[in-house]
Amino acid sequence: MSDLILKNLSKRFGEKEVLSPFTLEVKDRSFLALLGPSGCGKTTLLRIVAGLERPSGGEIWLGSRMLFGQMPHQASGASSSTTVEVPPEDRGLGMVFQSYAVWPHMTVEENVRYPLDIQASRASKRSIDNSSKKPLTLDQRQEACEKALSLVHLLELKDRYPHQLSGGQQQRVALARGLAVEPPILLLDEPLSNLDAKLRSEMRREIREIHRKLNMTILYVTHDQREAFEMATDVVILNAGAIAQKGTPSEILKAPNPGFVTEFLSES
Amino acid sequence: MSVLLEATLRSVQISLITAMVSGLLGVVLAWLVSRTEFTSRKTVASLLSVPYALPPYLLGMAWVVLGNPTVGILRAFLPSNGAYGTLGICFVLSSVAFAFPYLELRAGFDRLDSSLEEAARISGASPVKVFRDISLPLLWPALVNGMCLAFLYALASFGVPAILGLPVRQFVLTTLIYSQLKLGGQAGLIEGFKISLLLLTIAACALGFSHYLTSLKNRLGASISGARSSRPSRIQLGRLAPLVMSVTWLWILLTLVLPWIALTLSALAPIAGSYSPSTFTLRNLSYVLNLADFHEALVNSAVLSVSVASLVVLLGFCLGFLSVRKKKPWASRLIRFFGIPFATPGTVLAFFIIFIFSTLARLGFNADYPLLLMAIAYTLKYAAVGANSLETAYTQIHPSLEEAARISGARTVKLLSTIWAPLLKQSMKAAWLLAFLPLATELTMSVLLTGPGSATLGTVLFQLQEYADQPSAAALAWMLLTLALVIGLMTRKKEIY
Repeated sequence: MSDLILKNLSKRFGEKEVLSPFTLEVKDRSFLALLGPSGCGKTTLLRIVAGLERPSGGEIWLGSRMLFGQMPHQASGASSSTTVEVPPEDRGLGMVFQSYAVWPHMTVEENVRYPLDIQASRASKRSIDNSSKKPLTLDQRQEACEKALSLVHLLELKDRYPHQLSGGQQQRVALARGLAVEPPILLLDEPLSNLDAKLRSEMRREIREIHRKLNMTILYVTHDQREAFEMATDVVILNAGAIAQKGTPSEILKAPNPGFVTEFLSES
Repeated sequence: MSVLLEATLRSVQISLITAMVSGLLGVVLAWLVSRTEFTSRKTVASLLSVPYALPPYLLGMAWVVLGNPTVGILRAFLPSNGAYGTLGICFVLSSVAFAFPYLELRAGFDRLDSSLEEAARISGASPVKVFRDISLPLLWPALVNGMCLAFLYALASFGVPAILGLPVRQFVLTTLIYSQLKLGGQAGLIEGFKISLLLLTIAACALGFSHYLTSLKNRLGASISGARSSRPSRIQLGRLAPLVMSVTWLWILLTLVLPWIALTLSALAPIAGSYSPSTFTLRNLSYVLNLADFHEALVNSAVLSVSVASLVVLLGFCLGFLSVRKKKPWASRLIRFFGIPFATPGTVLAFFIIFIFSTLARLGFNADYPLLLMAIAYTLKYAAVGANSLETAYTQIHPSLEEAARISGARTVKLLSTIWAPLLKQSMKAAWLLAFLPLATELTMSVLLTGPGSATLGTVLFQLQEYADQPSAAALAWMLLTLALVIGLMTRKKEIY
């Protein structure tokens, strides 16, 4: 019911075309990996979905809700339209950054509680447009926070500050924070690239587990084939701002497109 | 109320207001240019760093022209005593001192990993909430440092309160020391000593308080300087963009453009207050250019500022090498020590030098060479500028560059001249300018130390202004402000993105 649809989306930085117009449909509750070498535009694509970058053209839809695009006026026909651009804070998504972005001045618990508290205060003000949900009570927020923390096995460390944690633990805090409000889509930007090999394989398993348990859509950016093919239900391979191939992992591995994809997959 | 108590309260009041206003302006402007998008943003960003290079008393003189209660151009818009008095002093000081928190916070925003802020937005926080919950707590030390610098700057300022305060008989501590010394004799010296100690105590308290405020939340220190992710996503201001643009440009107009126009008009006017183009004359300019004092001052200021700036940079170059590369503890201690005269108000520093040399004179050791005293005062005050910036520069260059030269057989002198000097050229240039610009127009210390044959640009200007020769003073001030603006505009920080 809430598929993510990117229609004719494109992005230019000045003269440089970072993403050439493309269309992509991400099915509800799927796990889509955006795979490609550095500079192929995969992170830009993720940031556009998050609302942190403005696309140069095209539309973004989450189910029946337009997140970005030109909305034609109903009264005056197709001749005039207004630009719709939902700011990141109103999209209701979750995101995990490559640098973790765990707030150093808040404890683990405060970090994870932050999106829950904001959602509650906004819901009570009815400022969010799809606020059919009742604001969560303090107890419910506490419960949601603890649920997210136990999903990433950090419940015992909830009173610690980030500088008292290892890199892998900080990564888990970021993940719990992204999950806390159970967003329809979780965006992950190379979340494992700063971890060592052993931790990486552990986290791959856990992220897959979380996807299975929470049943949310995951958009996962990586340059690591192993991550993509091991975890995702769908893989999109990007090259120089264009989609080189998309399909399920087995489809791509069975019949990689000749040229870039074959070459890229044979590396490493 | 005694004059001293009144001056103390006024000094503290002016410094507090200036620190508050500067902090507020610095936060808002730094956030706007670092994190939002509006037309002309880059130009605004780099113009906002220009006031840093301007001698504040020139702006004070411009505001005398604009805000004189009887003939000022803008007198209709100002309170009854125009730009004179506490409010005017606070405004003029803030129009320069806001640059301290502004530049500190700009640097802070640049170091801050912007994904920390982006993570909060994705969590549902509005830009204002992100600023309150994330940016402000993390940049708190930068803000406190900037405001502390603005406070010390206002506390130590002499020219602005002299120009805008003395005509309405409002003393602050620095101008009180000056008037005590002008009375001369032993009594003035003792009175000056007392006030100097008081001023020093207030400065030390301010430093201590800001240290306490930054240490409160210092557990986050290390973690914010991590790698920057991508370039920050800028907040689209939408309908507010035109408003933000006009307000920032109005501020630039008010603090840079308007003062320059005022001094230009005043320099061209035959008498103060007559600003019709038909009567404009170059007489004031040519009068100043032919003034013997001006020639003397030009030579003195040029020689003093060029030689002291070079000395200070050379000192920093050597001390930085000894402290960073040779790990000599005495060298790093000396660099730390330079922070004391730097933080000491110029008036107090000059006063102590006078005090020491007049004591020496009574012991039969006569050293009454004003230019020498000025050189000592300038060097003490600005040694920290060269030493600190070059010490930082040394730590930023990888030691392997030096080690490679050492293995190739280079000894210390060769190492300094062929490796470090070329590598540190940019930092040395920047440090030289940072010392040269304020020294070329130095007033606070010079006005106390000057004597026959040792006029500087600052003291000549101050005398012209004090003897109410406003058109000539405006002509000289116009020349200096134009020069400072040109240098400031040429050397301003370019915006990359």
